[in-house]
Amino acid sequence: MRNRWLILIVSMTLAVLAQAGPASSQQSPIKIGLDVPASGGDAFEGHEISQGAQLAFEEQNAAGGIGGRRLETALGDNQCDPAVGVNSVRRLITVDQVDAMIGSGCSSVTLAVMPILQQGGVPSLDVTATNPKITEQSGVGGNPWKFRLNLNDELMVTVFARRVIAKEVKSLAIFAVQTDYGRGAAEIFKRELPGVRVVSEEYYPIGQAEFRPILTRTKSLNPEGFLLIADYPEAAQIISQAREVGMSGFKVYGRGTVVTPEMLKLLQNACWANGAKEANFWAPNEATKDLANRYQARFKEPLTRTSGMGYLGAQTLLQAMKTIQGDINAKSIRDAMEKLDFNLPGLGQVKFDDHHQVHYPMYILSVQNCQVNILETVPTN
Amino acid sequence: MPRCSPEPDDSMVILEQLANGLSLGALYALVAAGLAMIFGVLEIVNFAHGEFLMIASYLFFSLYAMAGLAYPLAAIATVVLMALFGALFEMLVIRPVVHRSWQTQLVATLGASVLLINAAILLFGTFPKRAPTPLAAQLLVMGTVSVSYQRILLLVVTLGAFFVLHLFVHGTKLGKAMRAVSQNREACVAVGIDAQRVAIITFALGSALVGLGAGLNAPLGNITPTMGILLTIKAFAVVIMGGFGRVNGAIVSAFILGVAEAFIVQYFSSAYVDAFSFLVMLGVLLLRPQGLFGRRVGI
Repeated sequence: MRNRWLILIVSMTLAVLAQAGPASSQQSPIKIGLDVPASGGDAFEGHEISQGAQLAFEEQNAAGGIGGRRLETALGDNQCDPAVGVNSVRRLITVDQVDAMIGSGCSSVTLAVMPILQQGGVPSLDVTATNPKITEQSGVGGNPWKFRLNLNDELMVTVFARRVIAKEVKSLAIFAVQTDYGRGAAEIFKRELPGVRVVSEEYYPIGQAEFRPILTRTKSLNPEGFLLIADYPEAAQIISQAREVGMSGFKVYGRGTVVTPEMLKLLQNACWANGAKEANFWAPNEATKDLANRYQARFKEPLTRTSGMGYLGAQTLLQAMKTIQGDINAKSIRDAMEKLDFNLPGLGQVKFDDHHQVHYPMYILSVQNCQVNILETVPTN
Repeated sequence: MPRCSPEPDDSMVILEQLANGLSLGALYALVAAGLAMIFGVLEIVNFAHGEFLMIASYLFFSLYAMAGLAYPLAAIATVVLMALFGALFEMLVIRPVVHRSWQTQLVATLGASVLLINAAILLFGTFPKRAPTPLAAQLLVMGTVSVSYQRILLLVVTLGAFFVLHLFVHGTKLGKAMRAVSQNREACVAVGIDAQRVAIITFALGSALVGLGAGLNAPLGNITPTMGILLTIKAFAVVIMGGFGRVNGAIVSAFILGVAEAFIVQYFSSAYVDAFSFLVMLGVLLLRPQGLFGRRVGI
């Protein structure tokens, strides 16, 4: 009887010891949270970021993962709503226990969840949100857990306003989405265009489909230029309806995803956007052609700016993880990202400054002959 | 680049905003009329009604842009298929909860709304779909007023459809049965009117109206899984203004709201459109709590 108890105790002890030890943490997956708008009016953006990131992680898993560990994603739906985003990020941190995040996609949500990231101690990399406050509040003197891969509006709008808009028009109508991104960009444009008369400043909610009343009013004010701070679904709708109400002979400027192949695809005639110009942090180029083919093959959809940035964001996290000696966890990923300095094909040199912001050349794009063309690239450092 | 568009004078701007408002009102009316009809007959608020327009728009896209049917055929097929969808929805979602509490009914229709949106995301993805007709690109220009022929079609066919609906509801046996059930369901059952059949037909008719809305409006814009959300909110405001259950009230209120929104944008700001719209609704309810066409109910 005593021997039986002894055998049982020794067996149980051996079993417990076999579970413990460093070998077990090497087999658990590295979890990446995707904090994106998966539903609501901005769902297309969340869907694209997720797919881009997913492709990168699938490719890495096919190559053996990182240090023998597979990469897994956990999806959080912030609906591009700050209140929903806070709960979503909290869940990703406490329930899904992610090691890092990509998100939040929308500037309003990013700004709202930054305290949650700090409380939870999880690094998060933004790939599309452009409000400058995110940079101001990150890194030195701010949130050490927030990073941003895409350029912010302070960098892009200043260059675009002075280099292009100020030289071409004397009056401007501003038309922006009613979010921190839209309002933030509009404020910077107004500040950087002191010699340009702003004849109107209109805002619309995400997902709005009917713009004719606003366009009719804008037409009656006769601006020389029309600035759209919008993403491609609304931008296509606005340009189509502007033509329908008889607006013509004015210059179109964009800040968002206005001058993009995906916007042109939504126009009944892509040539309706001829002459439109935009500043952006990503454009399809030679370095992303292969990525575009792989993305199309995997998801049966064309690569867009947003899905491209989702992929590049994931690649940035992967690069950081590859430099880690020892355990890959939230803190070591954060520390590795602060030291990153590498060339990311399709974007440029990725090195975070002391406010965790990357600086690489921006693009000034235009629609010519019914297609998107790169007019020039401009350094931002 | 020299500007080509002539400067509009005030009267032309007013005319143009009136046209904008009427076309906006037409879409509101097609959605709200169905919602009002369903509430009037079944006393159920269908929170998934905006998603019916979304489903109808994807149906139209599938028939016209993917299958290549001629536009009139695709539009008519959308109306017929949506009528069938409405009947199916009544049988599967509404009938099990029609005698339950309003909370159960609310959860059922809200749940259906979420299900429909996510089904659309799974089937069609989130990249917007387009199904433009040649009429959407062809413009009728009168001075500074410019409008596409597709939008004129939307307005004209909508008015025609409501005229036909009026004749149906007031001139046919089935229409009278619908009006009778909306007044007193129990009495109708007592005299042998098949209330169940009336319920299915009401849902089918309300859904067919939405199908017509999709066939006329989908060529003018993006088709996305969440396109029905904002429209549902406006449709509710319209139905409340018109008197819950009053189809005529919903139609008139829809056009009033559409025109009001256009002029609020013109003379105030687009930022206040929704606020003013609900202010108009509140104003109507303060003056007539039963809505524009509703009857006062004694306690």
